[in-house]
Amino acid sequence: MTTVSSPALSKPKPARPGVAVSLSLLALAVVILMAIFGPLVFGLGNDLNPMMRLKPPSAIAWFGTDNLGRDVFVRTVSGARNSVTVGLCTAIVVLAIGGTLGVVAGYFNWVDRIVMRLADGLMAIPGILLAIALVSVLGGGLVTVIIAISVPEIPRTARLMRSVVLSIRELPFITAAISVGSSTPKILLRHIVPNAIGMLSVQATYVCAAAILSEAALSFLGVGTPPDVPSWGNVIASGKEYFRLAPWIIAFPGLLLSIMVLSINILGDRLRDRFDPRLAARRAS
Amino acid sequence: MTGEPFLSIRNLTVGFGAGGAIRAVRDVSFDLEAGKTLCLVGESGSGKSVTATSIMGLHKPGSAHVEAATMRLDGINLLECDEREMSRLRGSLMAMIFQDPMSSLNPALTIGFQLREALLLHEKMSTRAANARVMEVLQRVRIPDAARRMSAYPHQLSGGMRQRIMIAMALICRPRLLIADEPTTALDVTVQAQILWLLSELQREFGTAIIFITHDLGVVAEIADDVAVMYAGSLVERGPVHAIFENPAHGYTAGLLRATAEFVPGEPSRGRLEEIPGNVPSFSMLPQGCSFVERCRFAVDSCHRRTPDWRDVTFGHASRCDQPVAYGPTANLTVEVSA
Repeated sequence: MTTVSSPALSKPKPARPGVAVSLSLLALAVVILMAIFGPLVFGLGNDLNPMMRLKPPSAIAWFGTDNLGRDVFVRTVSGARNSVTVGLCTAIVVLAIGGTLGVVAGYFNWVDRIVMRLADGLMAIPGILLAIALVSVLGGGLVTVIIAISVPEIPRTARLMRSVVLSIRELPFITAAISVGSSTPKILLRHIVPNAIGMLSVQATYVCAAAILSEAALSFLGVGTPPDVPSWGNVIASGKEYFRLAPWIIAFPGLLLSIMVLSINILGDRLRDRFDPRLAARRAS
Repeated sequence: MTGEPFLSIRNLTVGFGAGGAIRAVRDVSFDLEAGKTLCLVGESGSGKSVTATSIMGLHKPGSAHVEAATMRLDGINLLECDEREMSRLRGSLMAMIFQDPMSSLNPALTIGFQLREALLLHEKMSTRAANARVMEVLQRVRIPDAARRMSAYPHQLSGGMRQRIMIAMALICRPRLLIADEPTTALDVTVQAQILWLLSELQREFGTAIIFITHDLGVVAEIADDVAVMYAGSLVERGPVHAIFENPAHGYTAGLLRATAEFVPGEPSRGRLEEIPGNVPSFSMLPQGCSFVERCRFAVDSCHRRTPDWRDVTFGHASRCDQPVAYGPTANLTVEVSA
């Protein structure tokens, strides 16, 4: 037994994260802290104060106040909770349902025919319209919003997973696994899914970012969470009539929304590069 | 011996495409005894691998039409087995080593996990006992530092090492039939020799029957007991290895042997190798008569008219050629068949 470790078996050094990735991680950490502690520290910012209507940013109200005298800073910080919750929950729901459907459709041809035709049907309807329709039918509330945003996202994820599984199942190691006697469920769970996890986690970031945007859009249109639960979408909506008088009502939650979605997308791109070395090499050159 | 051979294949025909119209394997029959090695020889696209995957039942569902009069392994009728019974036989009674060791191991799982899974699929034992067996088999296939390799991923190992892992995986449940589909083609020559040596050692110990698919006649001379030559989806000649090498009785076999380079130390090379003119005919446009007729140097008129029947040359050596005497002994290749 030698004590010298061969280079082939030593762990590869992780590449240094770039500036963009570090900033994205920082931004996300701040937003998540806001989501967890914001409402506990500052409350929901629902107190009306007619004396403080449409005041510009100052030492008392850092982001200014809206048309009902509510503190925009408090509502923006607390609104992070809604966005983060919707983003994470949607990503989990979509990956669980869409991912499973996609994996099964990719492996069994008869499931494929059924699932993909249903997916075609759903994808023919614009996502935001479908979401509005679902909220109208199911009634408002956080759970409803998550369901409404998930339904249009599921076919896209299912489609992606299907194509990933279609290419994995043709690889020689799947035949090799069958040849030592693996059953079909074992092939799917132990041999195909672990090789699809990379793509799945990249897709998760995109779904999460899209869900946060959709939630803001739904709230902006007035079919999201009720007004007494602040969300970036309904804060922006409350400021849209006073945009020329008090641009801060829209500017701060809008800025935070952009930063968060951008950060998630940057991290998603970075993950994709990690899982697809060829792409990373092409970008570097 | 009870009379029935260990593996018996009769009139195996495999078709692909709509209604199985493209017949990649036609009317293939052979027997194999336990502890013996049969080499399936032929150029790319001659149906060697399709024959092997048909025995293992590894065709994608719905993609291939497999028909045969007989397909029996160790008294089990493989034609009557459903998918569940087949997956129980795969790995335990029969196993396969694939051509490309680079892509035949799951990149997302460790070596130890994959080997252990192959074992636990067929035998009930504790993880600990399974790990011990995995260690043992890794040492058998000469993986150095086996304990550490068990937690390695496939990309951390070299090609020869990975092929040995594949062999370990195929052998871990001690199958009685091993199908090796060009297991050494992707490896360099020194590693190839080690792998062949390893296979024959394991065969001696466990009495495994081996079907070895290759187009390398040097490998055939080294390991085969019997040889079956395939051309355009059919067997054209079969027999004991020395009979086939010394006295080929089919134009294709003779052509293959003449096209093999020989190196004798101290002697100048014989110049240009002989080649077989033309290409393998496409399955959809096979010539009338003998399928090799258009490339055969010895073809006569009758070869164009009818497909030759099997014809015995010597005991156990048969060929599907009507002119089996024309080729003569091949002086080109010296065969050292170990007794």
